[in-house]
Amino acid sequence: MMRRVAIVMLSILPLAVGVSAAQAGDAARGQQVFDTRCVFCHGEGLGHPAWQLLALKKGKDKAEIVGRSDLTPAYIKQVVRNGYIEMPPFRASEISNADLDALADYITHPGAASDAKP
Amino acid sequence: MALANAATTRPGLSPAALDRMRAALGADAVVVGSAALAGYLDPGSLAGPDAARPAAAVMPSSVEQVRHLLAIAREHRFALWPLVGSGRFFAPADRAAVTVIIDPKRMARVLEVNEEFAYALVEPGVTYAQLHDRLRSGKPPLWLDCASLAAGSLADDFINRSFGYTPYNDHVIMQCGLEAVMPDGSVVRTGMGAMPRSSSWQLFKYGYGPYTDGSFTQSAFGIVTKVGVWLMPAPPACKPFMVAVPREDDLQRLIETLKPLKITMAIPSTAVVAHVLCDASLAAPRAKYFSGRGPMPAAAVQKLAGDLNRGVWNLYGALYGLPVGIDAAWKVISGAFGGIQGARVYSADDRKGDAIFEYRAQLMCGVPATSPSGAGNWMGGGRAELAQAAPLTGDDAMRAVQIVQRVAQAHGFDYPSAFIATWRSALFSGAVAFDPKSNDDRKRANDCANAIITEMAAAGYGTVGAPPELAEAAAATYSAHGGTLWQVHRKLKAELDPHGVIASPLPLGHRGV
Amino acid sequence: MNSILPKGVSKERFAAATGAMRKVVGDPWVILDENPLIAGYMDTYSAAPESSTAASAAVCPGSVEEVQEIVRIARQYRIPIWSISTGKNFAYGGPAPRTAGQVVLDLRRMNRVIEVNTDLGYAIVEPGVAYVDFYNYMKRHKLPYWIDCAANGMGGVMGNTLDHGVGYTAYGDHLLMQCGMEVVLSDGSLMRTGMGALPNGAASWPVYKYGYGPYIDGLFTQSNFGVVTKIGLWLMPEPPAFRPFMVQLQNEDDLYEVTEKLRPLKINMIIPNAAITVHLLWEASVYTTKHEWKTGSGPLPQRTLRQIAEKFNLGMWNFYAALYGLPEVVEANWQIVESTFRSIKGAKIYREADRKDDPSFNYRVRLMRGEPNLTEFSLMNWVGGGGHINFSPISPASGADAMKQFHMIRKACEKYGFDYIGEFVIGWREQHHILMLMFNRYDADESRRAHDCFAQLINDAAAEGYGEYRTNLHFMDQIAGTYNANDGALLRMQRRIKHALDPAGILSPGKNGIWPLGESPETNS
Repeated sequence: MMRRVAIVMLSILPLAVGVSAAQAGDAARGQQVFDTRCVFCHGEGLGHPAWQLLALKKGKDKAEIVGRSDLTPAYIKQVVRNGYIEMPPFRASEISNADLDALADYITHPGAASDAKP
Repeated sequence: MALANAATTRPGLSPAALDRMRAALGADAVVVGSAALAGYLDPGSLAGPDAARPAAAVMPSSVEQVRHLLAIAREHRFALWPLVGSGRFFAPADRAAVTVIIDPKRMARVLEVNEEFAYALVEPGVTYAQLHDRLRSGKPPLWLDCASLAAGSLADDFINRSFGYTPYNDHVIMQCGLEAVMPDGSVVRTGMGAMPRSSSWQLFKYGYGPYTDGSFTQSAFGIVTKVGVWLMPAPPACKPFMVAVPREDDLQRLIETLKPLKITMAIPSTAVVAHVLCDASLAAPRAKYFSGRGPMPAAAVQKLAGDLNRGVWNLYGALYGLPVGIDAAWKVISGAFGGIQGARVYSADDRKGDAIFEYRAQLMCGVPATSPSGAGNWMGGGRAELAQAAPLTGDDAMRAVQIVQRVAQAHGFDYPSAFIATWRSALFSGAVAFDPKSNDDRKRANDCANAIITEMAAAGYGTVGAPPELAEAAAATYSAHGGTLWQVHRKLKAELDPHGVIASPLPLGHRGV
Repeated sequence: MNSILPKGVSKERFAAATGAMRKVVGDPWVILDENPLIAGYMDTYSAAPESSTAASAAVCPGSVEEVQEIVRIARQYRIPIWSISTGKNFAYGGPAPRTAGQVVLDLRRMNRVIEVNTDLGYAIVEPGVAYVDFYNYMKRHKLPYWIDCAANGMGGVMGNTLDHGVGYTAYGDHLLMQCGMEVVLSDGSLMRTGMGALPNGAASWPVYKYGYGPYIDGLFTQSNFGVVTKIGLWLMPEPPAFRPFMVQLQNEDDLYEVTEKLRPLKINMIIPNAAITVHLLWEASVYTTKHEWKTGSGPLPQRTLRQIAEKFNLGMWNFYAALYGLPEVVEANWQIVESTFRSIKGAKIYREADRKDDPSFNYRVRLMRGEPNLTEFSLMNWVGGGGHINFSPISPASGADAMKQFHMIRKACEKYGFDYIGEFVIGWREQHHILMLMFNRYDADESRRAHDCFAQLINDAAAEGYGEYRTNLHFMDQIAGTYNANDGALLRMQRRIKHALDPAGILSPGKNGIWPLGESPETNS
């Protein structure tokens, strides 16, 4: 358990592995990542375990993480890479750093994704 | 005599080894003598009646006796050849002299029939006919999926991976739990059989850890002494049917029509697509139909189809279940095949008196059967039976037939054949049929069969069934990636059987004895 | 410098090996334990401390050729490498290796669906293909086939198959539906099984399983004899009709009758998919958590279970299955199925239209038509704290065995202070009983109790002849030890096979209790 806490602390450091500038900040890409990697748990309504838990703990308005103003990209990335209690960590081999940047952008600024859509 | 043999330059089985086997099994369980051993040879095989005889044959009656035999073989440096799984004995003379056949006659007990869970546990010598007799009296009746002859062994067909004809046609899938005596004498029970007191040995295939059962098929890693088989409860109804198409080229459309019906399991049985020569061979020797020499000409084949009231290609399948479900599926199936120009679609009522149809229908409806003509009698018993796997498509079927017919005809033979369609593949099964009395024919048949193996392999159709004489040739075609697959097989063999005490026709590198 | 090293490997040798690996896969894809990304290789759900399975490094090849190179390097430097595909077999260990210090060989980047053949209904996939990605691929290309997924939609198609996992459609026996395999051997050479060993055999490879000679695909499942880099699998054609249903049972003792009534329907294949009998709390967790019903730890009393069942319109047991096929056949079979289950006293039968907008029924329906989701993870909210391990014994699909297991396992759960949360998955003739042992991983005492409970269950089950089909990293040896008939002949044979195919003992040492000759759990701890 100790080891994990230490890693959480370390993870706040910026991760520079394989970031593609062309992809960074691509919210539409971020939405795609969300829809394939996050939505099973973080989609809206019962049947989505993370939504269920957040609704219970923080209220329904905070249960939907997309568009929440109190989450920072850095925090999102740290949680994705390290996991958080019930949530498992996601590895760079499954969500690349570039995709993670895009995901964090999308969660914090989902409007950009819908703007980008044709 | 035995002493004199041992003293000659050719190494053979020592009298001491024979004595020990007699002591372990009883004198009457050890067969020696040229005449008796000749019974283990097949005069219709490529090797013929003059093939090398084994040193002896033994008939153990228990697992304990099999372990004894292995211990004696290890010590006296000879090899044991289980008849079950190899089909038949065949070895070059030098190896034959130090090889002893294990005949399963005395290990032929049905150890358990469980009607509630629909399975049986059998010893290697149990035949379909024997188990069928036992099942018939039960409630509910359980079917048998017979992959060869009624007198064939269930374990033999499982180990050979022969396919039957009911929805339980894939015997490897429907096998659950086995016991094998390993070369070092240890007795392995696979799957849940490794759990003491488990009541799931015949219920769950995979157990814990690697699933090893498949490694005991077409191999010589251990001597299989028990096999669990799942049995199909008799369905409320079984409807066998037949589709005949008039021309050689109709095969393409017939297989294409069949393909989605198999993949969707609308036809849950094996679909056999038999050439008329294959059908005809089930009923009678060729001489009854045709008196010429060499391969039957196309016109004669056409005429034969007419005489036998069937097509040049004939598909056999069956439907199972509730009558209402069968009716619904039949509408789809008869409609699909009826759309093939010239096709005739038959139900059982239409084929009354057709012994070939009735034989096939019996097999598809869970009753072990033997064809009217017996096995492989087209040219009087001489045959080299082969099977290649191909994708279940019309193009592949046409290509396979064309290759084989070309090669067979160039060598002067008919090749009675059928496609055995199961999940997503068709096994193209046929036989180079030759006159066993002619050594010239036998030699040409051997060349022909070898050519079929190599030419089919070159076209991507690997041989998956071959007589023991051709096992090496078949295995040699699986050479991709530097031959790594067979290297692995040989590594496994070397590790599990370092002294090579279990023999087989396969090139497993175990010729050390 | 790395704080963790593989057992018996010097830091110099480790550095040389990982340095050589870097040259193969590129710097970013060798992740040493000083790299924060190593956190992704933790087993975040087991009852044992994460440190007990902490990797020394992870290597992420992007191609078969890279895997071959990595294996050669591992062999040269004698570095144990633990293969994972998607690393999502949570409750069984996730992405973590068997012992601390092993290098994880992470195949997730190899995530291509190589082929979907709609003509013959098969696919060939790489190790990193997750169910969700496979499903999306099928949808995107509008292919008329279903996939069969595990309850964890993030799980890997290949990894689940190799671990003998099951799904919920008529193609739920994943290993049965596997056809063709590509394996990197411990010397770095490449092997294809079955027809794949035939030059020009590519078209037959995914359609005919057995090839010529020994059929060895099964050897590479739940084992460590090679690194599997591709599998072929058969796909289920979209059926013309699909009728999922639920049978709600009012009493815990009804488990007996529902199992007995089901067995003939399964053996006769009237119900072709993996039928499931699920305990109340498994389904209730979709709506509620334990804290809403009880403060403090310890199992819920019967009275509360009844209240929960009533509130959420669930049974003490909830049975799910589906019919597939031609509409007429489905209708005819439905008559049989309905009258069979109707005869159980108090049973309520529901179809899709009866439980619209019901998230617990909905996710079962989706699983039975091969639609990945993660609703089952609602269980993680039951007590919170993430901890869960699956205890999965096999037994005959009989009422007596189901009841015996239910009582035996519940008794152990209650002794250690846990709720019984379980389900019975009925396959051909057997049932997999899956206990979800849920605990708060941040409570050391609770974690220890969970661990002890599990260990006791293995022995309790073995005493009754029940063995587990799959397990968590920490219990692989204990369970292997229960399969000890004939003086452990099967495991001894497996270890010989290991020796033949991986003489250096570098591939996933300890997987399912298979250690290289001369090694043991003790030499690796």
